[in-house]
Amino acid sequence: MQSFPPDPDSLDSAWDADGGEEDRESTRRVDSRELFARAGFKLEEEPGEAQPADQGGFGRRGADGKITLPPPVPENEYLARMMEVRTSSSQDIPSVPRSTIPWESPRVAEDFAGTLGVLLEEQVGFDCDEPGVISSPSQGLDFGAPSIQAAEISVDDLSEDFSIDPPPPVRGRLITLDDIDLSEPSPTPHAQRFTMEATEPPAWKKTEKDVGFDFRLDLGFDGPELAAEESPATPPPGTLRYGLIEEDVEELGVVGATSPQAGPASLVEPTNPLRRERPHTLPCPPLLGDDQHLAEPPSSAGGRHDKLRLRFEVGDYSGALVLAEALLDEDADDEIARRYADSCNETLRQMYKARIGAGSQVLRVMISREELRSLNLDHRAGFLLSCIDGYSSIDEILDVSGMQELEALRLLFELVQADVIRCIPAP
Amino acid sequence: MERVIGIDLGTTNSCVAIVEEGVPTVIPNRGGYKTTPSMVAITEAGKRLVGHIAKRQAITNAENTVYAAKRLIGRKWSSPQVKNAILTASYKIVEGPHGDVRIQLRDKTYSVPEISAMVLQEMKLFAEDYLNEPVSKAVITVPAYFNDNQRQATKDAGTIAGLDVIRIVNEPTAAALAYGFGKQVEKTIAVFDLGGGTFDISVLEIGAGGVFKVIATAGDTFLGGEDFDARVIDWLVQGFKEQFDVDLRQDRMALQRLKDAAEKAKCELSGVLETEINLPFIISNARNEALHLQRTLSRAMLEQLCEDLVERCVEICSQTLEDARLERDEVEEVILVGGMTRMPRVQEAVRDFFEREPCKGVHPDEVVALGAGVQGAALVDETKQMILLDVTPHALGIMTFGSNFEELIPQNTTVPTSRSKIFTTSRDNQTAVKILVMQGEHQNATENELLGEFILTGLRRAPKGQVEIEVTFEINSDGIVSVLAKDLETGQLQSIQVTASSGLTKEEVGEMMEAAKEYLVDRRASDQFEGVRQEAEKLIAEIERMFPQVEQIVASSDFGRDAIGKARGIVERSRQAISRRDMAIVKEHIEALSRTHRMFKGVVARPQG
Repeated sequence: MQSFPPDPDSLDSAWDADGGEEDRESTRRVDSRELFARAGFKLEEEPGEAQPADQGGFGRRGADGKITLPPPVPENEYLARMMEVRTSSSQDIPSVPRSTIPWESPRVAEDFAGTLGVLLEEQVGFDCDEPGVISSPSQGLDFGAPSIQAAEISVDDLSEDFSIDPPPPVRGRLITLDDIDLSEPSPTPHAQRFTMEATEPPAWKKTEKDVGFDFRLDLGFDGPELAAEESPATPPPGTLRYGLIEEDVEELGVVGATSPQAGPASLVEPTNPLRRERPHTLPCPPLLGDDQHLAEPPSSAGGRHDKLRLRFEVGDYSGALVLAEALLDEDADDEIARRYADSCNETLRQMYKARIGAGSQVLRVMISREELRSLNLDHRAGFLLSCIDGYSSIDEILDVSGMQELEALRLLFELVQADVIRCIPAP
Repeated sequence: MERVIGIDLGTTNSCVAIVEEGVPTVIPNRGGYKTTPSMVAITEAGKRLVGHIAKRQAITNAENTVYAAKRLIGRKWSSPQVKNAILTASYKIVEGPHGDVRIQLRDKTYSVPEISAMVLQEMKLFAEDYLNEPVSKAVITVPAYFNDNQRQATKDAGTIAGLDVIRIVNEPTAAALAYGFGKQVEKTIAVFDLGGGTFDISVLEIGAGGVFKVIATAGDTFLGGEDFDARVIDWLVQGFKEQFDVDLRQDRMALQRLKDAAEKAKCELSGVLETEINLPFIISNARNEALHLQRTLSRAMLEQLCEDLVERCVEICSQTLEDARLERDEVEEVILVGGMTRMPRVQEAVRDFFEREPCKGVHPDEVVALGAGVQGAALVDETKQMILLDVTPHALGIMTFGSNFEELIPQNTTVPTSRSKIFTTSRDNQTAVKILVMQGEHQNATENELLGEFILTGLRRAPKGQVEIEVTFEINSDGIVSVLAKDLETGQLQSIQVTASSGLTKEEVGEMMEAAKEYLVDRRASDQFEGVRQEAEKLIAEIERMFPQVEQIVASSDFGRDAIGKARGIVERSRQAISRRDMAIVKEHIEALSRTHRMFKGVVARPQG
């Protein structure tokens, strides 16, 4: 009968048979290799790699950096060790840090939004004044809380000592929420969710901040007020359903990829509250696997779904909506596209509403008729302007516009931005 | 004593009035307007729009906006008026289960009384808001030419709206009532009613002791202010096409703006000699350049554009007087009713035709509702003696051999009335006759409205023409028609009471009534929520306005950041509750928002440094 080693996370220092060392041991940091050694396991060293003086004899890592398991421990011996551990008092057990990931619990405000605000302020210097935005719709779940935890990890925090043997890594693939089953909370979420490797981090790890795994903390700031250089591929007014703007695809792909050129470009200045923030960087492979893949125009539905997801993740909700609608035009039963479309619609709607004003408020034209004529407006904006009489509320204007609500909101938002109209409290 | 409201349920606009401390008063709607468009729309989101808001989106959401439902009310699917409406209406008209007319809006079909009930319900709500008490009784006006089915359908609409319609009054009668209110006049008057969608001319006698008698009535159900607007729209579209080679009719938004601008210009030209129509960014051309419409319309041009419409009104007046065997100089007063009578050219035409200055002492938009209000007050106040003598709007008779129509009660006969005629059998040994009761003026009976039928049996076997049957028509003061057929030889008799039908069964009316009640409950809840929402949104806006300042002041301390975080939390939760339309939670949050608001105000107001 073969026995199995316990989970390294649950390794207990009491496995060390040398009780005389306990007091001293309890005050020092213990390497995991030591722990493994105490458990009777052996870590294989890489050939030619010098062993630290204090860690000699604790086993070797293999060439791939993985732990080589020791020969099976006889059951009776294993049980005896276990019993020995149990006889020790808890005070005698040297305290070993359970994790070297310095994850500090976020200060908890009254609720998630409050916590988020605090986090953003404290750790990012991010000035938050907007509600959160719905996460990836393909899960249909609220990812708020777990996302914070996941996003707290940075590559430096992941010690190679904890390079346990994970399931075979899928290299070059972004781990998205689609890969994570959040329906049941995982006891070791960090270890299970991300592929971690002990070898030299790949190029994408070096430019950790440019990774686009950011939608979990997307606050919806990236809509119409993004800086010009990083504006998403938002179609001009009236281009919804007019199809995808192909030239934007590559640009988007670059944002998602981690080429040296693309990396810094995707960084944001935290001082601008309306710019997109990616403060909690997480080392992730490029979205579509590799640059080759990115360069290829994804013509299949799967490829377009990837593009759709990418646009959504980078906060280009308008672009994602165009794509989703194009997919729905082709296949009305495309559930993923429908969810994305609904989510984009709702997100954009909320964003515009938050910026224009409350639905009960009244809009008023702030410029003269002569000034109005000098503006570069289209006839739909002209129509909306004609609906603004200084008495009708925003909701009423949306009702009478005869346009799709999102389209009308976008036009109103543009008019507000241009100081053509302004929201005044309802009489 | 319960208040009774008077409602002028118009083709294009409706108005509600009441008598307050002896003074007839029009009740304004929520927007402050005294008339409300008789329009109902269902938005893409399924929201019901009634009145001005429905009118403002009537062209951009044309398929789901019902206007001029009055032209369809109480009519049968097979009637020529319905066929005509199917061709011209922008909304979908479908056949109902009882050969009646239904209107499809979005994915639901509505009966015409249901649509009218939505307008009536809105008027009821205005009255309740104004009076601050529930209202359940109403007098509703209808055109004098409405037949019994149309009157019944209007009553059903009132019932669905939760109103007990205690009287249906002819519009010219109501106008005359308002005109004669508080005056001791004994005159023959003409009521010239040019509204938004219809034209009616009626001649009445106001007798001693406040007796009103309609002598004659006629009109055109497809002639009104909208036709005048259409002429202006045509003129604008034509001019724009000549200037830019772009057809504005192709764009609904452009057309909606044109319609609004045309109506506005028409109204303005009643007071000024010329007006500017200025519609910037009305459409984009092929190069995606926005085009502006700017034209000046003069009163003379408007009159020129609409001259034939005015002439049609005059022709109908002439015909009506001729039918009533009245000379123009016998009409002692002309009352102008309907917004279109403000147009100087119309007034001039009336003056020229009747050879007298029309009366301007009554408000043309409100006079009918005021009259209905007066009638309502009189009906519940026993101290007031007022007799209304209405006339039959259409002739009543029976169908005889060869599908001929034999008239018993002529058009414009004052009710109550009773008339008899003797008929014989048309075949040898005929033992039974079928009496088909009809309403209309056409010689061919099939062209007239069938009100009911019954069979008189047990006749003596005899050669044709020998058996005499007396047919009697009787109309009581409530407008109920009874028909009696009697074999004069045997005394055998058979009768029928013709009950008008709106095309709806009692069960259907009941169900619709329940649905309307539910809507009203939802509407009240929604109105309450709107109030709470506005309060919450106002506080949120104030808090958000102060956020940057407060952050700047307190961000350096943990406490401050914590407070800001909490403030964001409450704002966010309030927003979520608003979006969920959870009134209880929003109400709860208002207190927290108020506290936050006070705290922020305090922080901002505190001297810094």
